[in-house]
Amino acid sequence: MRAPFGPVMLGVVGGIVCSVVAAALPPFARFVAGELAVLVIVSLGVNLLLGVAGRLSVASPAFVGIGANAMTIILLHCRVSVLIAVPLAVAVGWAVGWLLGLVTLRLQGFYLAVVTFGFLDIFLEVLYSGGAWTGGGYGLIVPVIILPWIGKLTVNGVVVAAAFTTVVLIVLTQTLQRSRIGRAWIASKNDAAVAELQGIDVRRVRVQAFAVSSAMITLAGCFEALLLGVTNPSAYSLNVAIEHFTYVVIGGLGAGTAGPVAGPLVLFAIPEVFRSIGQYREVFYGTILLLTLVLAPRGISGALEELPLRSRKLLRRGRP
Amino acid sequence: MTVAGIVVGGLAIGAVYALVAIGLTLIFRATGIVNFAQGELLMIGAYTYVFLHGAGAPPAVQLVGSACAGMIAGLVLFGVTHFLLRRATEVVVIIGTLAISILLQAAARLEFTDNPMRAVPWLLGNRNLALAGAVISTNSLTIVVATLVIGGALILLFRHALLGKAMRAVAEDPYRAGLTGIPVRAMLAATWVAGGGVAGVAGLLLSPVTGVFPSMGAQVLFPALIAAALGGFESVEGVLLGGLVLGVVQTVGIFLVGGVFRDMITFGVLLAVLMWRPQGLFGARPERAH
Repeated sequence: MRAPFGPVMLGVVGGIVCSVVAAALPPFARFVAGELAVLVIVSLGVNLLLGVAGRLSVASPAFVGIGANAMTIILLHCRVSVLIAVPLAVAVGWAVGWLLGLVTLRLQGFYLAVVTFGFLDIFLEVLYSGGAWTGGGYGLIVPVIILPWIGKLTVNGVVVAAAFTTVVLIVLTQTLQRSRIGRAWIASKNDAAVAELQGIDVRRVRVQAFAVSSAMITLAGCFEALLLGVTNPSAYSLNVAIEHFTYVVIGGLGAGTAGPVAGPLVLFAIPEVFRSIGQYREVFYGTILLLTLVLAPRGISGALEELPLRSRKLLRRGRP
Repeated sequence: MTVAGIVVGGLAIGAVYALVAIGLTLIFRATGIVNFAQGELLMIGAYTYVFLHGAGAPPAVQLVGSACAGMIAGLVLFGVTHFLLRRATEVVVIIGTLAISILLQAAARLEFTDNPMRAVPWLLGNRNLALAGAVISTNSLTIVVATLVIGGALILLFRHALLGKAMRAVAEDPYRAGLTGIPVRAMLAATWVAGGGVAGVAGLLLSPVTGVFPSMGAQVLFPALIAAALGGFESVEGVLLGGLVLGVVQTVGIFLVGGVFRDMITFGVLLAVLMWRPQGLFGARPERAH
């Protein structure tokens, strides 16, 4: 089935619709929608690397932190517009991701996880010992942002921008995965040797995937800092990486964007509905993650795909 | 601090890394699973020690108790990874052990809060020993000696005892080991139990150094993984040496450039070694195709 619009039109129109809906929400729900948008962007990035390109990195919170800190530092020290600071921060994230991808090129599975874990650890160390630059353990306060024509940037404005960006990124990711580049990523994940034989430069693909995924997560970090008004050094730990995995794994790992969107929607909505979950948050995530791995290894989107098959099987079993 | 003091301190912390790394290696060798919850086994051992010590149990009981707590936890992890996650891919199992690690940490946090509990050094208490002009805490010596004893016992077990040989055979090739009449599943369980027991003892040894708190194991996990990688994920000897070397390099490094860069030193050592030899310092075989 062909889409009535090209991907660009689809993204822009969908983005505008989502922004309008987000702007119309009551204040608290609007804030939650902004957080959700951030998580969806992070999940898209994590899924690109883990699900599409098959590289296991636990460094995703580090890139959220790089986005938040780089943007805030640029805003504080360079006195430029946020419209320049965010792309700059994303460029920083891209570059760091590219480097990390390059350094870890030869590593697989577990070794890759360990090295990215080390990267995250070092990033946190730098953050905590950065003094006035990173605000140490307290983090930085994002300065008041004045935009031309719009005036002071409020949470409302950030949420609208985040909602728009999220939809555009969903469409872009979908398009990317169906493009030559995306198919090369999937091929090199499925079998590196076969991909090489088909003329795919697996090494280049891996670095590319790392850079793109990192840039997306960095962008989410920028939005998070704008939304909260601060950078929060305690929000970039390994536990957060596991939350990110939880979103992606529960949504359904692999090609496609349904999984990374469904995961945060379901998981983020539940604790927001049951506010009392508070201190049991980590237990909740751990349990859900483990249960999903055991019961539905392909997540929500996988389970939905299998549903017609399974029900058919059940029906057949019912007949004599 | 004298040079001898620094070196012995480094050996002691390296010994704890080595103990956790031995567990990681045993489990990886036998099952291909990297257990990211290994640090939490250490944490369980440490809490057990604190409570047994508080209850006035004799040192032998404290040791056995900590080891048993780690073993039981290891057995539970065996159940989860081998029965619940038996058809999962490597990446899924890694994420699964991460989930278990978070669950155990969160449970400990709910039960005991984040405040570190203080622990008295096992067996000899808080004493210092004047040795050839250097002052060395007896606790560091206890840690090193206990680690060497455990490591030596495991090496002997794997070289000479029937049980150890059977475990090695299963790690080498479960199918053929099964054909020779070795109970494969029991040997895999034994491996997890051994890994858990070693981690439990590591918890007992580490608790007076850092205090006992929910994320104490997670802090040790990263250097332990590096020690295991240095040892090539292959032999107890290699990992033991890898851990001790890492501990000394790290401690000397901290003494020279300051504690802020502890993890950077560790990470630098790992990156340098992995780029040079992706199979680890002491690993002979090329990387397995898991």
